[in-house]
Amino acid sequence: MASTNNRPSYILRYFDMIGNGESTRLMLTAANVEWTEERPEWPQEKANQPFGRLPVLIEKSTDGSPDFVICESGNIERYLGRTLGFIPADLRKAALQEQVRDQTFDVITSFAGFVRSTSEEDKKARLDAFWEILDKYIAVYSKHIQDNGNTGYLFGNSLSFADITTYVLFKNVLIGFAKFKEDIADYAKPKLTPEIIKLISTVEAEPSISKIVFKSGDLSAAVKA
Amino acid sequence: PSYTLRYFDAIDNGESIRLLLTAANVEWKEEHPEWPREKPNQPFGRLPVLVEKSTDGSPDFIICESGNIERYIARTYGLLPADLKEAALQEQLRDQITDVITAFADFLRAISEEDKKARLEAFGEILDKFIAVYSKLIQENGNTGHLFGSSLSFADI
Repeated sequence: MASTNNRPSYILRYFDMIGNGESTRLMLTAANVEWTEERPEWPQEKANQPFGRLPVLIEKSTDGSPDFVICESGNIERYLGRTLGFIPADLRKAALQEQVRDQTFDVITSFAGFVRSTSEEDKKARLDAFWEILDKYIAVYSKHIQDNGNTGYLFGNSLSFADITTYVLFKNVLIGFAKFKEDIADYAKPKLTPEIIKLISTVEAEPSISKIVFKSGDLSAAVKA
Repeated sequence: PSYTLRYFDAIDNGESIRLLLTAANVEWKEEHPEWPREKPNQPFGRLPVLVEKSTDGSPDFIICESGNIERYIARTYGLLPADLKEAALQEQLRDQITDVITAFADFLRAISEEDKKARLEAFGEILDKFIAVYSKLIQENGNTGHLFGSSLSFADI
């Protein structure tokens, strides 16, 4: 696909899952840039990645300069967030949003620790730790949404980096993680506060992402059912 | 402004912050909160926390998450490049270090012998990968001991 307006185009290399790729998909879509996705054969393609892991982002320039390739999901999200305008230029405002993303990653990583465990005692300990950090996240950010006027946004009154990452966290917990723990939604749904539910429906109503937001599932419907 | 770092008396996820604050040549001090007693008094129940105290009486600016703190200090004091692409190449290295440290933390938390063995192997594997990738980068950067350019960077710290 040739770039139509001198803006670079992007390739996201990731698995067919929400995981640590969905925030990138949503930002690329919301910014209305050209992008495609590659699903490398795994683990055959592991050795061909810069650090043997996914996601990887490739930015293809319009002027013939070499591709710019980066990895690490948070790094990719912050690079796109800054480049495409989802992260404020002010360093303090940016830091307050970036910490939200880092905390969603702590929650997701906590669940990954449960998935990796083999013994029953390890599984129990890791699952307990996951619920604990999820509870903390819900408490802190429900209050934040309330303090921000209860509009469903974490900061200001339009879709931000922090909103996207929060939405993706709950999409992972309620939909994505079911692959690893079938009944997870039964435990997670009662924990959701009205503020978190409002953020979820606010994000899903954003016109700029309507093209893809439901591809990985209808989260507003999932939290009501 | 001056800074307070709240952390444990350990290297872990605090040492880069100490080095960055020192390299930035700002006034800073450290607090070692009683733990876990002080847990509820932190914004997200975890350490490190950075408190930035202004000189004009405005409220303290408080942030947490070690990578976030490091990037904030580095950007504010010019230790991360302003160019977004150059910054991303350094930030990804830091995130990979987190992956390595987390892999070891997972090993420490493991209970059963089988989990301990699996987690320790995973740590060894990712550490080997880190060493291979960044030894090559140091070589390709002229083997001066710097990862990027010719002076101390975020990535080097």
